[in-house]
Amino acid sequence: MRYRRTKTAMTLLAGLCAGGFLCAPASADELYELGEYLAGDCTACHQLEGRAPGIPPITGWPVESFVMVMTAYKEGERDHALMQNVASRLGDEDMQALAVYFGKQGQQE
Amino acid sequence: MDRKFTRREFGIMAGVAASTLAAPAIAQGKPKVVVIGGGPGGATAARYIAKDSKGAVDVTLIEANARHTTCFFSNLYIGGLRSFDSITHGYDKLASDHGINVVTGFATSVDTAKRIVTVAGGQSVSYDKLVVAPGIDFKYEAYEGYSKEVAETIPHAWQAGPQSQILRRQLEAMDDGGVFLIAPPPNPFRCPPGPYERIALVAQYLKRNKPKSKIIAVDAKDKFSKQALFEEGWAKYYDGMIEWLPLNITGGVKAVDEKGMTLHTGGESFKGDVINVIPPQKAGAIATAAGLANETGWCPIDPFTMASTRAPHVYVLGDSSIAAAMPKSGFAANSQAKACAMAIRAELTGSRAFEPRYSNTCWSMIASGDGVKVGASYKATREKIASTDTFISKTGEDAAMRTATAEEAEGWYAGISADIFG
Ligand SMILES: Cc1cc2nc3c(=O)[nH]c(=O)nc-3n(C[C@H](O)[C@H](O)[C@H](O)COP(=O)(O)OP(=O)(O)OC[C@H]3O[C@@H](n4cnc5c(N)ncnc54)[C@H](O)[C@@H]3O)c2cc1C
Ligand code: HEC
Repeated sequence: MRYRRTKTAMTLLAGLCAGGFLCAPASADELYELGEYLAGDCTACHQLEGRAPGIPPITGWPVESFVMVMTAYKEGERDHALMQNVASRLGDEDMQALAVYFGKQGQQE
Repeated sequence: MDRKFTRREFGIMAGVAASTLAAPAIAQGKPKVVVIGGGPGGATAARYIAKDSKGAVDVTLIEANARHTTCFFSNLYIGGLRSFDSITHGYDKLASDHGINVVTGFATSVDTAKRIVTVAGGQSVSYDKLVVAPGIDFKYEAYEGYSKEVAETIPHAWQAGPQSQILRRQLEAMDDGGVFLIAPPPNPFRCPPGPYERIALVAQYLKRNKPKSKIIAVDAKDKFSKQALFEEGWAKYYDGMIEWLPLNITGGVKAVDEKGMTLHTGGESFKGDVINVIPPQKAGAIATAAGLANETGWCPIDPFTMASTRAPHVYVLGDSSIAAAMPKSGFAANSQAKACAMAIRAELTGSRAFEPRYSNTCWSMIASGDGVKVGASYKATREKIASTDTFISKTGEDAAMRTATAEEAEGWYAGISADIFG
């Protein structure tokens, strides 16, 4: 298998400026596409538009807060077995990508 | 370093599915994807391929029915907690929002050499890539006297729709003091906790409306999914109403007597006023007809892409597939569809493909406002889709936690329906 995830992760993060803003357009593109794919894992529950009981909306957040909340689930600081399980399968670059993707969804609404 | 696969790499990964990228059909215009089955597997795949390729791929969805009633939440309908309409969805948004060609018809055959699907009535549709997601079929012959016809009086209600309506009507018509007899199937089957959620929600309906009634479950297994949680809930809410008989006590159902409304096992026979037989299962008929199933009756796949290991350019999703550690659930089918959609787009348009992620969460209702859940993360390995991390509700949880879980289930239904049907 040739996913080369670790190297790619480093490349991705190298393309990010402080505060999570993107400065290299090629990476931005790739990060967004990664976010677009990974978001499918979330939209089984979280709706992009519309609201439902039980599952909070997650669009339009600042990148940093999004990453902070996901990290809190991953590290068990925020309690919720389901979301902890979700976060456990995400690496740093995955969280960045999701933060950017869902952040943009909010702006479009 | 580009994360994009070269086509050769993808070819190695997808095994048989990859060798002939420069197929003539692609050279002639937009690549064509045909999807058979508009359930959680097929409709999600069609929607994601169309949505994410932004018009670069021509997507046709062949679905037997104009509307799809979801199996998930059909126990809530049977238990009187949801309307039939609220669990039934059309395909209009897939057509209007994403330009998917929706063909209402039953796919009768697939020629995997010529890459053509034939639909009842004679229409044929050619493809560059085919997604097969027809759900399950039943091994009626496993129980003497049971058949598709008998299922009109003794329903399985394991494909939602008219079958669920039959069972609901029968429960409504049953007298107080009647017996609801249910026969859960052997493994592997669609929705492992499903029969036990059904028992709970039928029990709630009976307790509220016909409290002298009884439920007898003649199981084909000795244990089942979320067993401790269900048994705790049954005892808490419906004490004395439910009798669950494992395989080692009865030997399991051997024959169904429609006229006598009786299930015969190796030893004892059981009479019911309403009987729900859920027979053993296999991949949907079209998957078998297309040669995609192996000797188990289910369809082996490449864990990275859901590509069939038995026919090139064909992918199998959802209940029909052998997804190893993943249960046969709507959630799983939806998750698999997104990995598959990404792989198909990458092959047809050269878009980026990332490592696939799979997940599942199954909620079950034990009573109104009391929900439990089980879930897991999975990853693809060369051999299979393997589970990496799991969680499950605990016995003895407080009411607030259970109410929150029940509410999540409602939110999930709304979310996944939008994700599948648009
Ligand atoms: C009572 C019950 C409760 C459940 N609860 C849950 C739950 O809470 N959570 C969960 O995740 N899962 C649940 N499930 C399981 C879930 O419903 C299935 O796993 C899921 O529907 C599988 O999706 P699929 O796309 O593989 O097949 P299906 O949903 O069966 O969809 C297949 C579609 O293909 C169509 N089709 C079949 N053959 C052809 C053909 N030849 N031509 C054209 N169209 C065809 C069918 O009409 C159907 O619309 C439950 C199931 C049951 C029975
Ligand atoms: C199986 C359903 C499900 C899936 C899949 C899921 N979530 Fe969640 N999510 C929830 C629930 C339920 C909560 C509320 C948890 C709580 O109370 O802490 C939640 C909470 C959150 C929150 C906190 C929201 C807030 O207002 O505090 C974020 C952020 C989040 N999810 C992001 C994600 C991302 C990103 C993904 C995909 C990688 C994802 N979720 C996948 C069910 C899900």
